[in-house]
Amino acid sequence: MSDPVTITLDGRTVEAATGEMLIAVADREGIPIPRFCYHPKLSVAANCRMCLVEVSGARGPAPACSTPVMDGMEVQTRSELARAAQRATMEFLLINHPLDCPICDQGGECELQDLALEYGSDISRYSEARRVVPDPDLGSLVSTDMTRCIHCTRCVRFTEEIAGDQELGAFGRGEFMKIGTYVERAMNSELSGCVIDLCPVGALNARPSRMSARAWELNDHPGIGEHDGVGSHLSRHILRGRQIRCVPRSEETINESWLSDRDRFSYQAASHPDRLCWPLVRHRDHWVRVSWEEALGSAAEILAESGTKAGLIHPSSTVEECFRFQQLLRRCGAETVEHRARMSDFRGGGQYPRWPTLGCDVDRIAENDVVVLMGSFLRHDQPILNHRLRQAMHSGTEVWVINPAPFDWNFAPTEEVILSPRQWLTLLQSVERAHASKAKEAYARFSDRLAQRLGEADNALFWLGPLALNHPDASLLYASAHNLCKRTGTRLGTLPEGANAPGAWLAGCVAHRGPGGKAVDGVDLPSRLEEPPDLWVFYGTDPACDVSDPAQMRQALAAARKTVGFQSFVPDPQHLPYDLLLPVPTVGERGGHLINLEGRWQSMTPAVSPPGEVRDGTEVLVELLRMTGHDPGFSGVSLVAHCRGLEARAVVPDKPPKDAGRLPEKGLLRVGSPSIYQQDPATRHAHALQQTALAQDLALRLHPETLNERGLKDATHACLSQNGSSLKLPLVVDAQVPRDCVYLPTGDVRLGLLGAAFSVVDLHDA
Amino acid sequence: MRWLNSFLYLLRSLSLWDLFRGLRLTARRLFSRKITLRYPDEKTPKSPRFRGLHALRRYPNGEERCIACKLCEAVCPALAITIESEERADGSRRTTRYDIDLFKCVYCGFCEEACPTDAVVETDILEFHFERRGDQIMTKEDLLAVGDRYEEQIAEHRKKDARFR
Repeated sequence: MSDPVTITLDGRTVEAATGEMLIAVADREGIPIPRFCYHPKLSVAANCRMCLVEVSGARGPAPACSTPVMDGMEVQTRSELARAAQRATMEFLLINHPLDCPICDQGGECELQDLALEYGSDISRYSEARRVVPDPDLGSLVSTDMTRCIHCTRCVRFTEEIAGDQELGAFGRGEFMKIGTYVERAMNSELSGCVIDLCPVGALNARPSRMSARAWELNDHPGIGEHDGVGSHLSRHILRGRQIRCVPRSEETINESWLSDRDRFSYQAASHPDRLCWPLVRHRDHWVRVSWEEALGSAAEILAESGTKAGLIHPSSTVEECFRFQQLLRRCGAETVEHRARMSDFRGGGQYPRWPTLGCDVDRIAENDVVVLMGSFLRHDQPILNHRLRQAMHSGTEVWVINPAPFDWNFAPTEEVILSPRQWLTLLQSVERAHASKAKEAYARFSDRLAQRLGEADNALFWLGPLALNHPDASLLYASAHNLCKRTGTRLGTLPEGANAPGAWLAGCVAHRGPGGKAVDGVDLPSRLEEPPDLWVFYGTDPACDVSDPAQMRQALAAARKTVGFQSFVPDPQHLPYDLLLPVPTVGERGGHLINLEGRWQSMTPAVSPPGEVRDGTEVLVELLRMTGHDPGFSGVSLVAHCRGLEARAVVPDKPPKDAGRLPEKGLLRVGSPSIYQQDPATRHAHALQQTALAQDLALRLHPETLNERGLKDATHACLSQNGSSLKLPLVVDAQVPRDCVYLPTGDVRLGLLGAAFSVVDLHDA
Repeated sequence: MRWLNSFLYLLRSLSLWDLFRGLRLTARRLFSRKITLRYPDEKTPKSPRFRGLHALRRYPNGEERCIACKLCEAVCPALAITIESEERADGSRRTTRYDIDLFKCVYCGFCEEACPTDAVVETDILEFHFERRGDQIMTKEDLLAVGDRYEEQIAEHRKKDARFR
């Protein structure tokens, strides 16, 4: 901003920057100006005219949201002229607005209602016909009552400027203006819920909580997003011990004032009919309810008498849960404690840093000149991070993408290369070679251009996404990326799944690392799957969906003697052979710490108490430690202090493994990472999220030639077979997908026992 | 003078003077118009504004009036009303639970004042009792049943009072 100017605002002398809008200055000074269309995060539209103020010298009232300040300007926000203009605007707005506040979900928190109290008149002078607008169907997340719309176009500007999809638009003019979708379909954005917060009236509201509570009776409980690595700040709204809805809590350094739909609507999982409310034991093919005493007794017994043990914990579990889980299992002699159940390459061992980081703070992504993203559909993996990256791109950051399939980005990456995962390692190595050779030839190849750009950039960032981390050669990819970054002065970041992957690393839920990154002897997960242990323990991880190879996991479960689950949802007893199920809290019911990918510790407390006899997981683990004759050592606060203390210890990366690549050289390769609403058991049990097109569409994406080769030209469906099980799936033909690949999202229960991603599959006629 | 006072006192008590004076009032009331009623055979007239037992009303087509706006719940000073709501299959906003705890209720009538659809009303019924603990919580069904039974009377009372509202 250039030189400051001085203006007079309601008689007060105020300093402002040139070009700043009057309304922003007034907001900073705490002078209220009524407004509907203005939003600090969106562009200025100036179409509601509610913020009219008197500017001396001007011919009439001027809208404060689109009037830049000028030196010596004198502004009256509450003069007779300004008030008359505001009252007149309100009268026009109320002409067509229905008087249905008693049944409107916005009632009590409605900007129009609040301002009408001050600026509205007691009676309407309008007695002609009023406008009625049909409601477009925006899907299972956003409900519409378009007759209430006042055409502020905040939602339209949001989809255009923030969500980047331009799904909503304004049609017609004047009296006939309508807000709706351009084509008849539901909103598909991963941030679509934000239009609910933006809508100043009740036109757009949350469908899952529609008509279930009023704004004034909800208790606000601050919480943290439990599904992605940024840990968005949010508020859980509670009515009589039940989560009704979830809204963002403004945090400029993380989620600004936005919230991903996954964080916003996952609370529904807490009231899912399949909630596990009591400890259960399996009796042949059905569950029998038992008391906690009985359950804990039998858990301790199982732990004591089993020989080899392996434990898998979900990376969204809190630091406390992770620490106690590995403490219990390791004290009881488990060789395998792991949170990376979707990973298949564990050769890296000690080469990884103490815990994964982004390599950059969330709010400083825009400071990078180049961000390289390898193997991630960031929009679905980390929606808020994708929003930040998109904003960064608009402010000049270059985004280079390397992916196995083209994704539906909401920005145009500077360069995007679609490459079969078979060639990723070669690509990284050739980028490194190209950088080393320093030949100044024409940069025809992508690798040369990338090498040049990384070499030139002062601030560059390289992100390895879930597709790279779950790649069968992940350790080699990581090592190559690490070397490349070291040579080019690029920071390396990873984007692991879950809300607390850094916490799980720190707490020691990694096969070869104890708490604080201390090296321990352990057996990694693939070896465990080949040679199943006596006892499997699952904490939050669903062995049917959250593992790299559900088919192999199922065999490993069948071969094990016992299986114990700390779960929030009841699985099918025939499908998953748990011997004992202990209920643990889910979204909104948990307390503890989550560490986001910046390394920021964020604490949350339970917003509601869990149903039935569900007990806090940490407590149960501590009790089991005592019952198995071990001293838990820390308690509550001191555990957190202990875990924080662990941060200081550094781990030096080892030499990267020298093994050859493990991807099969021939055959059709199935590639995929979990889709947006299949990331963890909670999102899989959130009803409204599962109703969205993003969750429902499960299709094979492949090159037309791949189809032709198999004589499936013009087929709409095909059978995918892998490991002797096959599945009929719809086909999406996309000429950009590499010919030797077929893209299929994972983590979906509908995939059944299809086996691991990144392995060879067969495609034939349905 | 002391002996004189004693003599007069003796005279008054022996002649039962105070007794007859009291009986004079009794005799007077014995022949005047009676102001007591033979409850429950006879009852005092009540104002149409009388605030007694609650009821939930319906529209003439049978649709319940309550739209679950929860204004009565919000205004209730005794926190006697508990409402849960949802979207009915036809898209309208309805209650799934509407409980009034008559032990908590102070019969202030704020709920009927707040109601935008005249759904919750206080009838002039004052004779009700409960025989079991828990019966004092009037559920939505109970309240609608009261409304259905006394609708004519309720409507008449609203009509009489309409001019003043």
